[in-house]
Amino acid sequence: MDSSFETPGTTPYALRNNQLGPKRLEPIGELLLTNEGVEFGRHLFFDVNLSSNKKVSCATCHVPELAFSDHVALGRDGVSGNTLARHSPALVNLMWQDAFFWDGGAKNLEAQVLGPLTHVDEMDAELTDIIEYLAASDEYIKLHHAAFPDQDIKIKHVMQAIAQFEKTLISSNSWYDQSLNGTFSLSQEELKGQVLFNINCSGCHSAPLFQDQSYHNNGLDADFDYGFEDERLGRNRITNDPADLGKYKTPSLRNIEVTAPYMHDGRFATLEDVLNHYSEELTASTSIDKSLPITTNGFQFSDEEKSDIIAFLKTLTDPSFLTNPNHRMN
Amino acid sequence: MKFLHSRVLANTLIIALGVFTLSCGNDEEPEPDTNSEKATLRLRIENIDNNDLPIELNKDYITENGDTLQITALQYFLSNVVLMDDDGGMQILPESYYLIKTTSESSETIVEISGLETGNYTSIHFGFGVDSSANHTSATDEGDLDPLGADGMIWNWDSGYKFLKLEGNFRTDTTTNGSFSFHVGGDANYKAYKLGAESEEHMEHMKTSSLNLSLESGKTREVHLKASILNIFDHPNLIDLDVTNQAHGSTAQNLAENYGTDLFEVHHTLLED
Repeated sequence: MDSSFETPGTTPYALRNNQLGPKRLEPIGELLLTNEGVEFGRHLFFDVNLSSNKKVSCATCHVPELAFSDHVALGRDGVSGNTLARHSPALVNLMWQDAFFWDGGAKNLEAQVLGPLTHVDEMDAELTDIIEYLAASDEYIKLHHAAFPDQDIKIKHVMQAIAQFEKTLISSNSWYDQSLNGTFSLSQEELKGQVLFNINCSGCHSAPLFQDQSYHNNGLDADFDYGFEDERLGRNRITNDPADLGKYKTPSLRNIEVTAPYMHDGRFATLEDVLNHYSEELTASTSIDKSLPITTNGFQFSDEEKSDIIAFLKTLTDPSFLTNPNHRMN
Repeated sequence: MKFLHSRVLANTLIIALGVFTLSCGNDEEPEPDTNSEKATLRLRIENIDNNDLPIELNKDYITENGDTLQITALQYFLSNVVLMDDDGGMQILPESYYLIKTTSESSETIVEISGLETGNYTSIHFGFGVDSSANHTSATDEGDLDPLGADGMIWNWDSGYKFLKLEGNFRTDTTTNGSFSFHVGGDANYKAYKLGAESEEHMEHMKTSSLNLSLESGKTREVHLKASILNIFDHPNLIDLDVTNQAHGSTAQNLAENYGTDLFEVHHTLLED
């Protein structure tokens, strides 16, 4: 709706690897990336001065070498020090996603930015302070002017620029991708794991995103707190549909090796814990996903099958993504 | 809708350029009226009680259900204001996203829109809330939608604007010290209003209030809209505050139906020189 976003005087950002696997995926939402917008956004993403106590940036809970996740189940690194209600998700291949947050409450990445930026337990930013801060910085005046020539500094530019940077966080060169290209060979163990994965896991974690843009109750809990605006309601918090109780957005499994702990609340510390859950610890509830073998409490994988699947999951690690200097600030 | 909106903006731009050229050649002259061919509309939106008095914060009001309440916060969005004449002519007020507030000082919100086409308008259309195309971006600076001025009217967990924020305290036979908090939004809860010509024909729930708005060049005309805020508690859905005192998100359809029904009327239009 905003044509000023297509800005004369800026240069289009050249996506070097905007393809996931052999099939081209159409990006969802705004994809007018400019070099200048991405650069402005990169500075903002890593800047603690946007937060009210000048100590918290986006990168505090979205660490580049952890595929932009963090190592704790529920973070306490926000301005208030309070424990957050949900686990910090990895930021990978966001331009192909149609909703954000574990419950999909944010309908586009630009709007998502406002959430953590203003939440009292995260960055707690006053938007007027951000504008004042940027307008008082020669560096930001330059960055903003390059990205949005001849315009006043607006909050929408901050939202758009951070979203632009985040859309460049593309992981498409994992060992798995290289095996598709024929430049890497998976081991026997990994290949066995891939077959098991395709049969049992790919219904929700479908290639090439290794997620299905949908919400599922994967058998973690028997019931859900019906508290007001309660994060534990899952997708139901947004839709108010009883069928959505305890459902969460399927996370991508790309770089899963480095994004522990797992689940919306980080309850599983290791991939072994995750496999044990799906294998024999499923918990029944009214909204549990029908594709899960609940009558047998899980898939009943053997130890060898579990370790094969984990071996395959580790081929989704993309070293070039985790070390990409364009994804860092210094 | 979108096409018309951009056409209005384009016209404004052309006019502004014309005025610029004109003023450059007339340095000695007093500054010309930048909108001499155009008219100005002042929208005065007043929140009132059932006695036609301005709504006051922290004052006791009794609802149809017999509950006593005090309002501590009242804000809502009006958007997409369109003026129509009898011949099907229309103009869309550019960037018309207005945050209407009752504060401790005032229960009126006044918006002036200049550069409008002259004409005789017989109906005014607008929406309560924010239309779905603007509702979920929040990366915008249109009207009062800019997050900078939206004053707590954006959800940070379910992206979109709060169409209505209505908070306060209440007491009933069974509750001595209750509080209510209604934050209502969601695309389905955007409600269209049409006040003026042929109101009943198109929307059966709307009050018939007539509009006779003659926009003349170089002049300001005022339209005074009144919003009977206590209707939100009883019309058409009777709200029992013991039962309904919290609403956050898109699920409060009964409240949305109430703010979408008979809330507004045109009180008067006024011509100023």
